[in-house]
Amino acid sequence: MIQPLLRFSIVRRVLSLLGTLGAIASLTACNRAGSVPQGERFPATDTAMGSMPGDSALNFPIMPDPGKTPGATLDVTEADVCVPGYAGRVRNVPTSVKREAYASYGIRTHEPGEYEVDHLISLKLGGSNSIRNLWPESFRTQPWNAYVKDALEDELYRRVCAGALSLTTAQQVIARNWVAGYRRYVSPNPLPAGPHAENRGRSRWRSHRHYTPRSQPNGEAPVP
Amino acid sequence: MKTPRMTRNQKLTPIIRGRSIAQVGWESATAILHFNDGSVMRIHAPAAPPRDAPPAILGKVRAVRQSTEAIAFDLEAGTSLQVPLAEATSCVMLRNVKGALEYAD
Repeated sequence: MIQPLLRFSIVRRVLSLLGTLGAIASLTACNRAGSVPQGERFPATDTAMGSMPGDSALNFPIMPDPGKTPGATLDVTEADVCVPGYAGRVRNVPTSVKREAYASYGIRTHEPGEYEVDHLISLKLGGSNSIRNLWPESFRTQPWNAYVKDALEDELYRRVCAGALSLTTAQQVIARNWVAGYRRYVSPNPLPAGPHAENRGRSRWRSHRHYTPRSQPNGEAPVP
Repeated sequence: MKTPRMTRNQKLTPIIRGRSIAQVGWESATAILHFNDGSVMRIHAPAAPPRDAPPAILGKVRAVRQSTEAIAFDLEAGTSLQVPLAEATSCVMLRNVKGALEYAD
């Protein structure tokens, strides 16, 4: 006869184990679901990146939810994106869409500088302004955050425009698992990045220090 | 139900103001606007128009207004061509006669 306390302990362990298995299964499913639109899907196994020990613990806000933010692209080519000023020409996220992005991730309030509504596939890599490509990305999580992702975006863009990487591949790398992409294309470990990193030279931080609201095509007030 | 407000598209208006919409075609749910200078705009709509829809209004563009649900081309003649959007963003793309991207949202 199993004592009630022992029985409770066994049940709890079984439930815990089932929860762990469920988490692993959902992560696998998420990786499969990661896709860019226009019917293109990523392969179930990304042999180029391989599995990254420890990445299974990563989740929002470091990684977007692939169900909500699978990534979406515009119908553009390398010739389109590798033109100075391209990203500025296509940038257009109305306040209502930014609010929708925050709401879809359950963020009701946030402090200034805590998040930005980020394009998972960055505009300069052909990402679109669709809600399927937008997620609230944290500036504060460590070591992976918006500043670190910027470095990956810059590196992928550099390679695409140098002809060393196809635009489609770059889009897949960043949409599938940007942390794994960073480890492959930038550094195995995140390099110092952010507002206080030396030799950063990133335009994003400069733009935050001298933040001026961008005009909204739809006449709405900007939301960071 | 509240109708989304249509406001002037400040980026697109200066690009196409003065161009004339010469032809409007459809490829399934995508509207294709041909301008007189050879530029082409593709707009993703929720669905193709019904077969008995009246012909599209053509003319010279004065301004562009947009909401999360539709884009409207106000013409100098005082009329307006309105096209519904499949989603709030990422539906409009304009390329010039050489195929270079002029605008995308």
